[in-house]
Amino acid sequence: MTTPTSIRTGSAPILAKDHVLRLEDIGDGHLAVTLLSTEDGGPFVLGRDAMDMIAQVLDHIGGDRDVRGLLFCSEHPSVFCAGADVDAMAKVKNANEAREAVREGQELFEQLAHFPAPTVALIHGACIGGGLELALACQARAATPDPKTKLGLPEIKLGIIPAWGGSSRLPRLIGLSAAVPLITAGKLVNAKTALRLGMVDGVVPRELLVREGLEFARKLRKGEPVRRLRRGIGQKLLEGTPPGRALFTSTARRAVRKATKGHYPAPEAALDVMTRGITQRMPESLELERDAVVPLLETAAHQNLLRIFHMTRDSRRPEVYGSGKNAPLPSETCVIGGGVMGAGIVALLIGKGFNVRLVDPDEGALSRAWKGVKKEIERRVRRGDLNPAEGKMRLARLSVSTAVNGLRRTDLVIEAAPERLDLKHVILKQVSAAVPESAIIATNTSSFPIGDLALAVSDPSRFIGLHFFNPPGRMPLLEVIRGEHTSDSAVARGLRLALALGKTPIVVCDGPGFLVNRLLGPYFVEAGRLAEEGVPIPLVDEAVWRFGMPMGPFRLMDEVGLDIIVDASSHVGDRGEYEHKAPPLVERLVEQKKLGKKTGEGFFRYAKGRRRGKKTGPTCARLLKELGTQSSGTDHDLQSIANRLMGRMVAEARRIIGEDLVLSGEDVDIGTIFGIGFPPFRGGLLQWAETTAHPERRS
Amino acid sequence: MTQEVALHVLAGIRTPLGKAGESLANHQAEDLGTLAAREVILRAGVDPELIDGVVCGNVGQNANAPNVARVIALRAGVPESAPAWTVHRNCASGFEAVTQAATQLAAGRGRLYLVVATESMSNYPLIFRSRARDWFLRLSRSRSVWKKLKTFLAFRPAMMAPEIALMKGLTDPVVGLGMGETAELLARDWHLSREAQDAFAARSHEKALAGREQLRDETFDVVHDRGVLRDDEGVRTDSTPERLARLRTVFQKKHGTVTAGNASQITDGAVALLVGDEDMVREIGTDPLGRLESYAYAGCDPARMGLGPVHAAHRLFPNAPVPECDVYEINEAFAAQVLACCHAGRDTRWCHDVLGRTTPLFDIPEDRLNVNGGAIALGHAVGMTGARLVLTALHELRRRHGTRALVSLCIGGGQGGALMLRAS
Repeated sequence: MTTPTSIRTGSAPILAKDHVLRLEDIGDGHLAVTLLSTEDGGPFVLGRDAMDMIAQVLDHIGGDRDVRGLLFCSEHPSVFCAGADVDAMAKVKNANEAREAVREGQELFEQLAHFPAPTVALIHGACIGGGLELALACQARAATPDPKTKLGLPEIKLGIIPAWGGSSRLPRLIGLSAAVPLITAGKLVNAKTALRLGMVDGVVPRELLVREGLEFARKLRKGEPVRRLRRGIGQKLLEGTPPGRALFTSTARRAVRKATKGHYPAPEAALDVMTRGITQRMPESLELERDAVVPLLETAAHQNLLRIFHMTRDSRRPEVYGSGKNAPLPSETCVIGGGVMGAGIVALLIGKGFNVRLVDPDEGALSRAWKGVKKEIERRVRRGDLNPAEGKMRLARLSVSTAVNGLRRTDLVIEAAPERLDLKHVILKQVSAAVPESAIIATNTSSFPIGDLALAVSDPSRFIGLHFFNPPGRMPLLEVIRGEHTSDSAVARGLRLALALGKTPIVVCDGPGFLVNRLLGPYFVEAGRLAEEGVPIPLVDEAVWRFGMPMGPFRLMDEVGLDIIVDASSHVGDRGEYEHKAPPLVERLVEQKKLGKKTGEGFFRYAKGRRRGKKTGPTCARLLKELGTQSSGTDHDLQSIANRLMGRMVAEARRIIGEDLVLSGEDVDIGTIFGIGFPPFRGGLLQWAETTAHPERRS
Repeated sequence: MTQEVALHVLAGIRTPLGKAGESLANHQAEDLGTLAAREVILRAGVDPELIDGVVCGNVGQNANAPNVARVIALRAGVPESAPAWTVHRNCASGFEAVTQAATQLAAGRGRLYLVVATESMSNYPLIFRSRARDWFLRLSRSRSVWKKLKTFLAFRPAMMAPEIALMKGLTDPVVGLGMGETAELLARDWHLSREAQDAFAARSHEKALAGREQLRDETFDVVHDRGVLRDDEGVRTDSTPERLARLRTVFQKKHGTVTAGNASQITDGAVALLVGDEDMVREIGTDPLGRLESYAYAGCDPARMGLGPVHAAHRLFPNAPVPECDVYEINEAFAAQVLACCHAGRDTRWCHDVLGRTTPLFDIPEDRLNVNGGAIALGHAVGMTGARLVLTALHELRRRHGTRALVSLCIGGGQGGALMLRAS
């Protein structure tokens, strides 16, 4: 008996289009392999054609008594199955159509689950959403240890729940307490974790996947378990008894509510389906899934999340993704300035495997940045995300220097020096002379329009802004700034880097504050005005938090640093075009050296990096009194406070669009969601404005 | 035996030397080597794809990085296809790396080599004695409980006393003398007083202090947990002859003369050089630091290994005095040993009796010898030193607008090495 390591060796197609292959390999029959592939070689998505193909396979060979097992695998380098066709989802017209589409998928996977011969999913690459639901309907699963192999049910992130059997099968397979966090947070796990949780039954290198599949099929045919998972007594008590489940459910519900602040209905619905469904038979559990998902498909949250999903990855923004994809990536990068931003950018670049040279005249800054990178690598090694040898390799990719040198082969420089115009000019002049002519020179400035700096660069067509947000490792937005002389290819290379760093980029034309900071200006001014009118500061923050932002404007100003707010607004305000001058209250606080979190007091008080109490800090309270502010009490409509603040940003955004600084309103939505945490379920700033003004015009 | 070669040093850089156990102690030899290698590639702006091979000199080979040259090559971004090998000739390992590259270039096996020399004496291990090792082995092989117990009871706490690899390395296993003892022997042979040695040592520190700015031409800043190391760490402002005189002799209790103060310092460091043939110089279009013209190694009495430089220089110029050089480097393993070399080289009788020469070998003017200080002040990171001397001498040659430099060192085990360098 020969065991093929390559799927196509010694196998012949059974059905047209190569989708199913016969493996001549078992004495008393044969195994069939279903290839999840597309005509154009792209990732396999469960659209209409794909579902038909699988149905055809099941019908065709389900009755073939000669078939001793059915394996599913993909030849795509990084995707097993990318899940349901999100584009098709967007086209569903009404509830009936949605219910039908859900039922069809459920029935197909039920048919698979009851396939007369053993079924095994051989997973290499992303196995997500509907893709994992397909795998869960098989009797066994094997996966590769490759970092590209990720499994999960992220439907929650689109405001819906897994409803092709995922919410029913996953808790049955791995237990409620493991399945609930995975589904309610939409988390993806690697093969190692999947094996530990029991989502897969074996992990083997890709070349051995088919061999593992054959062995699983053999065992299943003999009625032997593929793998036996032991559940602890605690888990048995918690999940196997009605009081245990009740306790689990109420605890989980509290955690979910805390995470969603009540804004997102899907996680709670998923929890409900899972905890109720597990006590019932499969058909009833599937009905629960249907009943839950159909109304969710109609919510504005789902529509908005779906729209964001499209905007952040696909062809709807070819200016961003199209041009970004084809530009070259830098092989040698350099960051000038090892302060908080510079060091953060260095850590990000190193984390993504780039070669980095950090230049800073301050030896202490170099040492701190180097130690920061080293610690981050050590942390990832400890967590098992990075093997120790790779960790050593990453650290070796960082070199440091107190002078601008060693840049003769550098193709990207990011200037992140202190925000002083003269200093930046000197640096950019030096850098221009030190790098090859083909290199891109970028600045991370947030205070100056890049046009003010371009003068210092020898060829300004290669000069761009790369405006990272603090902390660069965690904030998803990256503003790629196009200056007056910036070439298209320079912008494209900036976008390519942004995508390689896992960021969500937007292109913004040069101007004070670019997009996000310019929006924040009037927002902060308005917040200051509310305070001066007597609205209690904690109440303003509460209103904005309730609205769905991660924090209110006062807390945000404290986090950023009030001196930086004043400084930034003076740069923007100097132009005299916009209402950007920092609120008097902020300026007074800066005079008193109460700069926010970093000094322990701003609008609020802080200790050890955490806020102390929810009350306004004493200095701020005193200043308010001096300004003659009378507290207007706590009897305010929180919604209208939030609307008033957001309204100021909307007005500024319309002005920005009028000035043609961004490509479209979608960039404003992306910028606000990924740059300042505007609640995604509201669809972004302008989408929200649109739907509040015209509720009937939901996308 | 001399050898005409054409090795051009296209670029070179080194770490400052860190005192053992201090700034660079948390960098392993491969880490230091990688830092230097990457720095020289970046500074030279050379495409790593052009590199035909990597040679690394290293003495205390780290068990975590076998064939350290390969580890350094890959971490520094040299393409996988370029082979890398590690060489060990004790204190001349750095020389050996350079001359191996010269051999490769002469044979036309490649045109551009990355030469690295690295040493982390801070990380020399403590070694289990063989008695302890045997006991562990027996324990792992004892199958039955009874046998295990028996083996267990054979344990003696004394087994656990470690041997210090550094001390082992500094003792000649053939003649059974410590390196310091060979220096004491030379001091007796050549009537070198404690005062003369201390004065030489003080001078080394003085020159290194004065040369601090010059030495920065050849070093780069090395980042570590507590900051950045910019200058050689061993150089002291307070090493006056008077203070040096207060130190205890280490190797010979009675009438001894060699102290920690007039011997080289135990240090960590690495150097990297890009070396290539004439075509490569043209192709890359850089201004090379200089070239290696000829070199020789010679064996000698292991008990008097300190005279190695004289033996090696004799091999280079067996029939004529060493031509006048602008710069001389004799590695300062011990003050006594350098002084002995100077005496021997100009001693007609010794040159005749021992080397069979009719003329003396050389007479080195004091103001051209180790002009920026030597290993007594800067440190002697054994495997690194040879290549470090080449780099230091070439920089000094350039500063002096000179043409020729003689660089030499003594090698534990009774050898010497001498390199004749030329300005480009």
